[in-house]
Amino acid sequence: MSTQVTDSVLQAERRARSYWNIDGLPIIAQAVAVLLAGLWFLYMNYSGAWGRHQSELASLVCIVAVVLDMIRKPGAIAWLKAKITYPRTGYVARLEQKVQPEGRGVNFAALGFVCLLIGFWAVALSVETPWICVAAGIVTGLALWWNPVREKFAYLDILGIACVGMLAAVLLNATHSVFHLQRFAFTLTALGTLGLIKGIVTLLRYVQRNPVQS
Amino acid sequence: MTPALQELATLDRLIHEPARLMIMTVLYAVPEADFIYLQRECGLTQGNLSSHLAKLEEAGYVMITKTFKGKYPLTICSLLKKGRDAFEEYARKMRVVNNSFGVQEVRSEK
Repeated sequence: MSTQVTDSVLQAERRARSYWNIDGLPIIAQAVAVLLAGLWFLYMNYSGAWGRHQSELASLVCIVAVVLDMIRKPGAIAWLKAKITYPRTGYVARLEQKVQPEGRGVNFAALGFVCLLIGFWAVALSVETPWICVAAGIVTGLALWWNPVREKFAYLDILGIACVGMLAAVLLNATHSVFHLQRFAFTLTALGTLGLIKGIVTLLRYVQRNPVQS
Repeated sequence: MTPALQELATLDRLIHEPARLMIMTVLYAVPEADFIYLQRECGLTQGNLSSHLAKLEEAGYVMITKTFKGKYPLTICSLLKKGRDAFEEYARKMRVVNNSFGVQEVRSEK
């Protein structure tokens, strides 16, 4: 294909791909899923159900399944998009993510970034030192503002927000001696809450900028 | 006549028109899109887009279907195989022309 035509097609494809997130609804759906997971873990902690191995395993499997299902399947969001998005800025079929051979370098960068975040996260959940707060703050800053693959891997933002949740959890630990499993619950809850705020702000901005076409 | 000029002469005039080229480009990149999305992406008025889409549909390049997403009515457009092939052929010819013009520019600079 001609270079100019190819560029135009790629540009159109990129715009169509990012169009799915234009209204913030996918972020809200994911955030609600994570928030529910966090609240469920908090409930398990405080109700005393946590500690019996069967219930731990069952709840973990359920939560992971629900979260993955909500993130992967756009069915729940499609109904909202039909009400909010399509009358304003139109409909375009969702494009599946393609793994291109030339994109492997970027994928490795993303993998390294994820490993770094998870590593700090795991350390912060297990090590008792105030310096972890500093490390968590640095990683959060990196994830939110210096994410090198933000356009292609927006979910890394969510990991960044998870670090904020972790930071909150560690701070809570310093003051209230919260044990590790509760930190996990606080982390998920903070992640869900922040994601929800981000999604709602995006949605409000979108609705404000795009009135319904007559 | 040079091969590049011959390619120019055989360009698909239906696609070569700027507005229709924009529509074809967007539809080539996505499985399907509705009227409002195309209107926003191409920056065309409602009447303009309708007339261009009608021409592309008439040529068998584009399929237009009316459907519903929930209660919201949608006019969905998608590229047919004939249209996809025609667009690829158009792009191939443009590449030949572009390459040829590039060579001539280098020669004139020398």
